[in-house]
Amino acid sequence: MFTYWRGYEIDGSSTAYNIVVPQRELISEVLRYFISLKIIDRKSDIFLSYTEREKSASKEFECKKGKYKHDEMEKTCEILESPAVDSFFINVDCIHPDKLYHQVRNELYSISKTRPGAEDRVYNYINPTVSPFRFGPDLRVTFEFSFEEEQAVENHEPEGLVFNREALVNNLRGRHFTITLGCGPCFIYEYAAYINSKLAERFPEIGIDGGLDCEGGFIDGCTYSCSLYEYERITLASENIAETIKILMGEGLIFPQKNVGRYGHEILPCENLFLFNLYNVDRWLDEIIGGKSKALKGILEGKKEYTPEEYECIVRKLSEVEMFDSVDFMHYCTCCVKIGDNNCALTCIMENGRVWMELRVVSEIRDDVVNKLRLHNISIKE
Amino acid sequence: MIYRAEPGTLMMFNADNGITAVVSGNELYSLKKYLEAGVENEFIYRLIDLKLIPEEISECERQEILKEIENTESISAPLRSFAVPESIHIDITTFCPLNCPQCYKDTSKNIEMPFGKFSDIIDRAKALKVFQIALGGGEPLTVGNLPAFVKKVVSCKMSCTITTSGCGLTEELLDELRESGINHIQVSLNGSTKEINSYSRDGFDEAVSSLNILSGSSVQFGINWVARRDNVKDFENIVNYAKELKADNINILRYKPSVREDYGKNLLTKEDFNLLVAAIRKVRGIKIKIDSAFSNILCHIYGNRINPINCGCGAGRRFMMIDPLGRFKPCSHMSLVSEEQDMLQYWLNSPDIAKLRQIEECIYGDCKHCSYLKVCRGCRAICERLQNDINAGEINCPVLNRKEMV
Repeated sequence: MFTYWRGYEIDGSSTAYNIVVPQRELISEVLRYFISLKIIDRKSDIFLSYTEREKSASKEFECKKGKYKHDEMEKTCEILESPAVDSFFINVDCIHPDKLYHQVRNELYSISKTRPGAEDRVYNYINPTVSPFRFGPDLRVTFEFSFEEEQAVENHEPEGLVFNREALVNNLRGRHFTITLGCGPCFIYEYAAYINSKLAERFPEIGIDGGLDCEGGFIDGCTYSCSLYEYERITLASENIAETIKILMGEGLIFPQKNVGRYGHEILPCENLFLFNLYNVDRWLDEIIGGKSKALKGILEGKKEYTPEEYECIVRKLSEVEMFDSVDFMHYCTCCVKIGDNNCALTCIMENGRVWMELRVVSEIRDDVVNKLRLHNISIKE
Repeated sequence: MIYRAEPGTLMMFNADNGITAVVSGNELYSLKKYLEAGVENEFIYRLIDLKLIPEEISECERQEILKEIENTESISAPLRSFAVPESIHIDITTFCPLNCPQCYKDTSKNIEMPFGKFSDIIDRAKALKVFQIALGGGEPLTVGNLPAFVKKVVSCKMSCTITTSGCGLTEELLDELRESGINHIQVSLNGSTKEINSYSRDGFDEAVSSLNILSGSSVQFGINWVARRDNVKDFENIVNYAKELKADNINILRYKPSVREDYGKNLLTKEDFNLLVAAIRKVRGIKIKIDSAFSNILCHIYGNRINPINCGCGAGRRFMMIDPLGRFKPCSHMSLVSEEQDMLQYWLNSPDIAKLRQIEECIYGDCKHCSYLKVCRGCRAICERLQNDINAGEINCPVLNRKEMV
């Protein structure tokens, strides 16, 4: 067990206690730590909603909402610590795997070794990544807490990712509080395991369970359907994007595809390159993505299909927009191309101000694609 | 840092940030592994972040903590209390230049604790590994060599705080206290205006002057505010004033019987109490502290969802008091004075303290039937004053929650 309290003793009042009781301080400490995890995107906003009631016996709640920057964490915690607050909910975004610091990325990928069914397969990958298409990972995590105390639970059977089992069982046997960390169905197993394991190690007094990963779902587990290993990155060495694309298309290595239909679920062959992830950019709400939609619409001018030269021109323009980070840039440049029978991606990445073309191919065909590229004297960036 | 063994538990205290922690079980094992073999993990980083263990630990400190961890297996503690006091309140003088209507102290005699006596007490407290010393009076600022008192405490790694009316605080004295290492100063103020304050306290101008001096200094400070019928509606003004001053906290004290006033006339009614709690719930931007005699406020807000260690009367369980003659009491508001000479013997064997530790079994009246008994226990001093018995339950508690009604 570990507990602590903060404050100096004041004569005349006997021992003075804080209105913010240690339980609330603990939740606040957990929240601060959670937000500080290296996979949480500090550039994204923190969306907060909470309920307040003026009188403890009252059943009337007032719901409030707010949006905060990460450097306004103190304000968020002050709300959480207020005795009037009954429930508290925030959501934050995680950093895309491509954008993680090398060390964090390694730490994250090494978690796969502990994933049921994945132990032997992890090491066959060279430069893996998640799907580059718009149905990619949903990296939003929610942190939810209610100060309504829960009743004791006997005979709890921990399931899924379990940490601090002893604390979990002991805490559940008494009246307890629950923090619920939520994620979407396309969340990545390793991210969830990273968050839970870090929290468990930092707060041994807190028990953690949940997040089933049925049938050892390495690629398509039920709860965590998005895999860190779905695609392999092959970065090409040439900076002449249009010429390289012409060779790839001319030699029949790639066949452009476009998405059609109301929701873009249908994929059909096409003559030129099609910005797959910007299929319905006209419907994007600017306020949700912080002005990016407006910038995109200005560059694209309603066009979505491009010749290799036009594609290179668009890529150069996109690379100059400061508000796009490296993942935004890659995401917007992504075109779907058929390689063999597989839907793969042709995209561009930016490193130190230079733009490189990249193929993101399904993991199983990586070696085959690399061999074919070499046969056609297309260099691969190491 | 002070590390102290309690049964199966290591207690830690950092006087610089006022954090007290208890570690046991797997967490204690984890700390032991770190100290013995350097095994680091996120929990260890958390202890470092909270400044409960130093980032660069010396061999001497390492051995000291390991020794205390070993002691956790053999040490015993009295019923429902720590093995030694967590904190001691020391009245270093009975003298006060003010004449407050609400004062509960006997100021008819001017008695000041000699520094030598004080020094002996602090040495003993250091040997026992007491964490905090809270100085009061009378008016402690009238004690001539007050900075020396503070310095003595701080040199023993304990924290030192002063509760004052503000009378006598000058910038020069504050500089001396700061240099002596004072951790916190709490100024008593019952109203945001002279009129409201004067219903219960003397010395409004002195309090405001001292708060202005403190506000411009680096010394942490707060305001002691006694909740009464004549000032309860002024609470929000005091909060705003304290926020303007950038005070660390407002400490809400329960009104205690005074020889100079009609207690019932100034006592909060149930409506006043609810008004205060509603106002407390709205406060943002400043820490609110609660007198343990007001534990029923915490119960009202949180119900039974409070760890008893952080709620309820702590007299004789967490703290004790020493008067200017060096005599021991469980709490400054109680009349139970002991002639015992040794602090530890008093803590372990005092029949008065033993009674306080058995209050859960011996209490009668409304408190006996209240579901909050274990986390509240009422104010034993008020019950003693009004009913001449520390086992008596509270009368007309606004938070009474009868067990059969739950």
